[in-house]
Amino acid sequence: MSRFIIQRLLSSMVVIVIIITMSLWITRQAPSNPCLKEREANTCVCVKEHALDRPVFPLHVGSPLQEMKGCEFWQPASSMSVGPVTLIGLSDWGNTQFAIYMKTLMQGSLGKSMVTERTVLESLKSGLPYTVHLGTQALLLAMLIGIPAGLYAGLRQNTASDYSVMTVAMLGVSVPSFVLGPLLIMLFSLELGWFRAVGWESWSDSVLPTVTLGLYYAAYIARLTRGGMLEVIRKDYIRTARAKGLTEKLVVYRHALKGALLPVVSYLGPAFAALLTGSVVVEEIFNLPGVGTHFVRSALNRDYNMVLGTIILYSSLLVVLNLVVDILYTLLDPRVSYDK
Amino acid sequence: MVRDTKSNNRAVEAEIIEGTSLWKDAGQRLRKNRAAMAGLFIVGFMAVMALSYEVIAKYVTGFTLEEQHPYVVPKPPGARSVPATYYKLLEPSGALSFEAVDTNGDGMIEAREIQAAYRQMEFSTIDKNGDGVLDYEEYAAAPLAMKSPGEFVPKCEQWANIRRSMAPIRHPDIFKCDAGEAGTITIEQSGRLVDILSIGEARDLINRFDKSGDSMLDAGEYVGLPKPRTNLLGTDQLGRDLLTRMVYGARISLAVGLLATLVSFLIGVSWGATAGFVGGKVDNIMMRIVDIMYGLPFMFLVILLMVVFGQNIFLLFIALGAVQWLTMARIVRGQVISLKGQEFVEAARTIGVSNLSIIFKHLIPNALGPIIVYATLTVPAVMLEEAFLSFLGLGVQAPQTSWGALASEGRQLMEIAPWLIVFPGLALAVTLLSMNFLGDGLRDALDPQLRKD
Repeated sequence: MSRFIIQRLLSSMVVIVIIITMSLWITRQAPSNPCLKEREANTCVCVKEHALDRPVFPLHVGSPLQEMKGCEFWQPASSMSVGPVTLIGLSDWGNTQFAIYMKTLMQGSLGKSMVTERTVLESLKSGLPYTVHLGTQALLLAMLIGIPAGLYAGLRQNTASDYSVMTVAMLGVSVPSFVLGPLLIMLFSLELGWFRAVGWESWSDSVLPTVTLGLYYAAYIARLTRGGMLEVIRKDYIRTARAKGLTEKLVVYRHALKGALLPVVSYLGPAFAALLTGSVVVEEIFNLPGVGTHFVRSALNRDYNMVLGTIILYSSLLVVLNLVVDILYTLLDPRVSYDK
Repeated sequence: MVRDTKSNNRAVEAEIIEGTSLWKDAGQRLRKNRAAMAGLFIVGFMAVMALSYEVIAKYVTGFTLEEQHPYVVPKPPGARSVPATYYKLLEPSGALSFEAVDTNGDGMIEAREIQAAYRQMEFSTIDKNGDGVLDYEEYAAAPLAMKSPGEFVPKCEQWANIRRSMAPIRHPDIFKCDAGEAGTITIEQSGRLVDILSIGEARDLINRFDKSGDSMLDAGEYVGLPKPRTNLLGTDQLGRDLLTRMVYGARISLAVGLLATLVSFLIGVSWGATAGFVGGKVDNIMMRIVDIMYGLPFMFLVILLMVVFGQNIFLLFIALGAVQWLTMARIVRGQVISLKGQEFVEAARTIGVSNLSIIFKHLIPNALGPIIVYATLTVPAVMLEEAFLSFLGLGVQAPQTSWGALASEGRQLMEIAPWLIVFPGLALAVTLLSMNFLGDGLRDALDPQLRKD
């Protein structure tokens, strides 16, 4: 088991390095950069040999400024940020901006925002509690609604109650959160005035975002649980359990439930990824100061350091959560073992 | 008689011998599934709408994607605007005769007079009982009368100051402010309740018919006025017709869904089929790559791509397709592995068919059922992702629009114009629901073993 965990951790590191490299590489291909924005032009200088603690931007034909056209590379005048990778100077690997970014990362820094004066880490730290709170609550809500609904439908297969639960679940996976969210706001904040429409100050402010984010997963989990239950309830060991005279309650809760929940557990990995993505939209709708909002704002502002930092945070979270799910899986299903 | 019985027997025999093919069988099962058929019908309807945007704009809605009617905006469903491109002229007679429109009698029609003519036209539509004045019922039923934003009802002095800049509020007190002693309001008092044409639009209208270049119409140039048309689903804050934009949005949303699915289909099928067919180490490495990629937060990389390379629609569907192929690859690999040990593949190999032909001519066609099912379910997933990106402002860009982009615009005005988010959201939800039902139905029909009942 411990060997499996170590192996997984190592391969996770590889995944994260791949992500960082890809993201750095993509940002270096940018046809637009902070030096191209007119108002920031005077903060950039023309360089022949670029300072390595800052990003460097190659000349672009689309530059709005005449004087920028005579120069091959532009760089922000102050070292306001650790730059994205440059593939120039690959022969001198230790001095590429990729290497510098990784070194800074090792020191526990994600660089400075290219737009605001805060460091990336500060922004992420301020946003993470909201995102984690929202995500956890939404997942809990999804499981609390989804699993009972799925079991209910699965145990009453092909009855009217099965069909109605599954139709509602289908509706749940079809209504996008950015439609559901505003509808909930219109109904519960603007019409009924039960909750505030935006912001996050007390727990009641988290109700609408949680419902918006969680309902989709509740519907999905209900579908998975129903499917799992239908598969398990026909297995021989269930027949055996019934044959030895156990009550239906015991059969379902002690024997069938574990097996029925397997698909749900294996869905949790992708669900975490989707929850993180989904929370970007929900934070945006409800104007919550979470990581997702930082991500969208920085993406729209072309604040690449901030974007990179957020992507690194999200990938690390995902990798860790996926590992947890895999371990959880062995606990539920004795047939799966990571020891050879 | 004898021969008849014989031929009957033969017919019966033929019926027994002639089995139904997998596809025919699946088709029959699908037709029995009412939810799936309803889904198919709705998806088909949306597809027809998307394909015939130009025709619909011309003959049904009467507005084009970009034409703006910015006077009293956003207009609620049922309000009217004067189309700028696809218009029908009203006969220049009666209330619209040259003399009647030229109210100051100088032999020229100016923009103000055109505006006044439409005001008169609109007033007589709202004035249901035709007594020349509006009572509260008629006033409140006017399409442009606005629901009060929140609980806010201005006092009469306040209303007098703002009534020139906004549509009348549907409220008895406000009505009394305008009506005064008489209890009814005349056309002069009705303000923006009856204005469907801005002075700028009136000028544009004149320039369209003006041959002499004096920005006025004389009796010879005047051929009548364009007939106002109803904005069935209202307009946005620029006065653009929502229904027209939604029909166009259907085109973009569906196109992105289909093309991205096609991209994911091509990558996933090639990858999965190769891994499954070659097997061994290659399979191991290829599927390990898929496993690793499963853990990547792809949406964020797509967002990064959209940010860095600008919001290019081709990049959008390639990027979305490129993140959706993983499950497809797994499904295809599983199918290919289970098929490749079967006799027909061995037979093909014995007669010397090349590996590539075996994969594409023998294995993939036989694995087509699950592939089609998964592809059907990928389309709504991709559409949702496109809408999600557009909602964040990172998807399709103006002048193009999609349902997600429309919903995003609508969210800004949610409080005063709920229809702007409700209708595009509804269109998206209904389409996704139909596609999901269709996909589920196809799965049940094509693969009865997979069926969970």
